[in-house]
Amino acid sequence: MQCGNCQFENMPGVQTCGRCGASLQLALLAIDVHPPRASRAAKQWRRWLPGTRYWRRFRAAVAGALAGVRGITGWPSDLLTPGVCLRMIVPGWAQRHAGRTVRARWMFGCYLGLLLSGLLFLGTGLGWLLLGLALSLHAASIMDIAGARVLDFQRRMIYSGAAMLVLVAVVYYPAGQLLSLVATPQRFNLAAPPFEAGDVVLVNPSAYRRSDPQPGDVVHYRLSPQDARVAGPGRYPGIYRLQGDRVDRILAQAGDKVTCGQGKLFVNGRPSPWLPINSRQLPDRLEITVPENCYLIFPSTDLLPPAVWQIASIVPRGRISGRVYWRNQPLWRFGSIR
Amino acid sequence: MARFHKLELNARNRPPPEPNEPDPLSRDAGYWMNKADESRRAGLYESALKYYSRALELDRSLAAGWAGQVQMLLQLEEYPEAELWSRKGLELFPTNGELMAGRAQAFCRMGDMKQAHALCDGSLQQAGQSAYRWLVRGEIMAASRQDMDRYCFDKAQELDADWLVPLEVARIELYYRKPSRALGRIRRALEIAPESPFAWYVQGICQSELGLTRAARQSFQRCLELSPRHAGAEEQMRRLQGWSWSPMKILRRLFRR
Repeated sequence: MQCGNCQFENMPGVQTCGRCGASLQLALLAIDVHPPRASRAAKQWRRWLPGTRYWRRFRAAVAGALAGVRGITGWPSDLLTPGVCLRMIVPGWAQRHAGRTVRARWMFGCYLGLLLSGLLFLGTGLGWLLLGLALSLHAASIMDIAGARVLDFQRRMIYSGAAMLVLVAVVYYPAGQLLSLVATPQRFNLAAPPFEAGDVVLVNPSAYRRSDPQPGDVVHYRLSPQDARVAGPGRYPGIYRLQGDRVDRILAQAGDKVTCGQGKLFVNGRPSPWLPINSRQLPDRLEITVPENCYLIFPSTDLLPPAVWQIASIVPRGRISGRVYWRNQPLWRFGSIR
Repeated sequence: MARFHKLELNARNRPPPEPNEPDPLSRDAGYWMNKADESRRAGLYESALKYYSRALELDRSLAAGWAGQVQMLLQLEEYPEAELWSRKGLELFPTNGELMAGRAQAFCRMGDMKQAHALCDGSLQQAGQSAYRWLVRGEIMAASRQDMDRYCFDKAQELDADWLVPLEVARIELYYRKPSRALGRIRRALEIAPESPFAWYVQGICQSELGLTRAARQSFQRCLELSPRHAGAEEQMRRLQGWSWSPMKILRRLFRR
């Protein structure tokens, strides 16, 4: 009987090694007594990511929910495992997990293409169509792996619809809400120089949650509905109804004294570094002091008579809905707005 | 001659062994277990783990060695590894309560409370009693936000009057961010073993967590008097003396369990 510790040949039947004293009962088995160790990076990762503690709990919850789903629908248990279900969040990942690499690559590639094109055309009909196709492809990838054995057409359609609903509720609606916090598309239905009809700009509604707008920022704002009377031809005055969404640059803030004349703008007696977004449109003569909690924004994208500018240029803080930072459409004028 | 240079022919030139150190040839599993225990009491968990492994190399049937390894892995915050190792230990000693408790603690730290409860119940049902099993029971209670944890820790201390028990309870309380309770436990440990540098170090940690900077400094100072090369205490002293603001520190504090 050879000792596993020192390879000494002991007499048969003895309990401990005659040379080193090691137990021969367990020594007969090839047992490694050195425990596995976590790498430094793994320990750091575990320490930094407290969620890893709850991963096991999360998996257990998913497994419980899946057992419930399987119980109700009679779905084969080998298709819906927690590992597969969690990977369904990315199209093609579950296929890759199942060993179908080529299909996984195609699905992921097509999905990524549709999603990115959809985001590129965000705010247009084509953009919504592409995003819808991406969603359909995602649902199809789920059905490809989970509904592989569902052959009945009617049941397949029902499950596809259910998958789509779940995807919308769990992935796309929250993602859309998050996206809308930083990028809300605004489409110009009419030409408003320098914007053309059909242009789409991205507005960041969260830009002014923690800070105030500053002169120079291009903002999206909504004029408060009001009527401006101007002298018209004959006995009757012209009435301009001021309302609707506009995009233009902030030129001055509360307390600033603004004078305008001969195509030049002065703020507090100094030439302003900023001009309206349509710099050709400046009033011939204007003197205005910006009231408290308001900003001066010339409606330069509109053709308004000079008498209306006095009223239309004062925008309360609450009417500014976000910062405009990107022109998404048309693609040949794609870029940031400064 | 290269073939023979390792032969022990010139035994006279060999340095004499230290007075308390046994002859290297007669170092048995018990010797390494004692060394592991010493390291554990000094807070040197990495060394203790190595010594437990050395002991197991000599005697694989030493269940206490397997349990010690699991406990050291837990102290080193290697929970998945501790769970794996305790499972392996339980294959060899299926009814060992300490190993079951170790596995329960690993599951508890990983957030799987259901398994932790089941294993802890199993460990308490095994023959015999030990402080560690009650300590794990208390930890599971603390992790489940149940106020019964203190009774389990008291029970652990009743079963074993060793100062290591309140010290390890204090470390558990610190893990669950209860520094004031931990301070009470560590004070009890220090009443029993005032000469232990590690206990002073843990007391310093509790005090610094509570914002008692001056008292913490005194504790670390005492720790350094008892063990002048205590790296942890030196680092804490440096931290207390030169407190500086950094975003990384704030992030670490936010994400620390």
